[in-house]
Amino acid sequence: MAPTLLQALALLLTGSLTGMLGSMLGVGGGVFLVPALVILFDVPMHFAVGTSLVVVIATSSAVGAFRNEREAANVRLALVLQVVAIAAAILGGLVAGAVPERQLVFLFGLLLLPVGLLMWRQAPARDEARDADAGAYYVVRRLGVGVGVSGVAGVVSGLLGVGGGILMVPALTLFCRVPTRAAIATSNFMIGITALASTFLYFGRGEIAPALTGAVVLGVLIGSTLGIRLARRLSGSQVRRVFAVFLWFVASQMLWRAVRPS
Amino acid sequence: MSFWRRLDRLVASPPYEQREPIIGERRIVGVGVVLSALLLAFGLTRVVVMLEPSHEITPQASSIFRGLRSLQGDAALLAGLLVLALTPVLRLVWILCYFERRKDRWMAAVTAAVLVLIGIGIALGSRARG
Repeated sequence: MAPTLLQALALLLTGSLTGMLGSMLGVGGGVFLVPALVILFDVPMHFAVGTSLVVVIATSSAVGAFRNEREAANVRLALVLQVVAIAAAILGGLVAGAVPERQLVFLFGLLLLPVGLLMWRQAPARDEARDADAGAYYVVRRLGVGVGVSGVAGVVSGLLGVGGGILMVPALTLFCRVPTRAAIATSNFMIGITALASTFLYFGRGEIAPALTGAVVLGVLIGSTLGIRLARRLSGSQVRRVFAVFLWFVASQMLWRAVRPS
Repeated sequence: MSFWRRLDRLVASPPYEQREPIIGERRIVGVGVVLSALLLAFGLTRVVVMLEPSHEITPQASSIFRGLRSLQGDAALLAGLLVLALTPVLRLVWILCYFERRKDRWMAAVTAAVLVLIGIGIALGSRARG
């Protein structure tokens, strides 16, 4: 069923905020969107995940098209990691079809706890590194770790509809020694393509509602272009810490929703 | 040479990429994003603002084109989502051609493998629909 005008405007606004936060914080936006759709709009979890996957594609494409930083993406590294990530995302998407609603909500709540921690801990280092390493020469190390993490990120993407950038960026910087700027751009290149493989599974199962998804995606496209401009002016570390705390609050809401008596 | 060492060599950029970075696909992504946004905006206006009655649109090219010719909102929404989803595929095809032009067979093979995996995802999705 198509949303009413008021619902469509609310979805557009939610999408804009998600896109803005996603591009400001360097994540796909799924960690904010899925809980928003489930808690605020009462959208079934599988539909929220399907919508989120399309949103990850939109954020990745919008950032790829309009951000200069994209030129620093290591396309060769991204494609090698992508082979594992896509296979894992398809597996995640197939598993999601068999997991009941409540368990999926519970898993998402659990995922948000370490994601919040990662967001909190990356905050100061990421901003400094971002400016320092522009254009730096580097050699990729410990590719095996990168391949392993991209597999995990792929499963998480297909199963829970998040981009996986929150896992990929720390793995690329800490283990593979890729400079932060290049790691963010490489991760952004990857998340859209990883999300694409499992999107068709959700689409095939009828878990993507065109009007709902269309309203959110349109908002995301507007929001992410605004976020790119805002990110240049704001101090990302403060914003990231605020949203780390916010994510823990959302995690508690999702976990409560999964375990409360129906 | 070990498997990981081979992979390490594969991801190290050869000199031609430093002279000619892969930036052409940026235009493809930009066009895809703008076209998708226009189709979604048009579709939402028809369905939500003008309260157009719902049409039976199947996710097949012929059905979507027929719907678009009659300016149906549902068809525009579906087309917008499909354009958005196919944008990364076109981006990959462009990158595949880039590696092919430079006779970088290994990277062309990796890119082709990524495209094949996406194809498997699409095929599994179609089967689920059927």
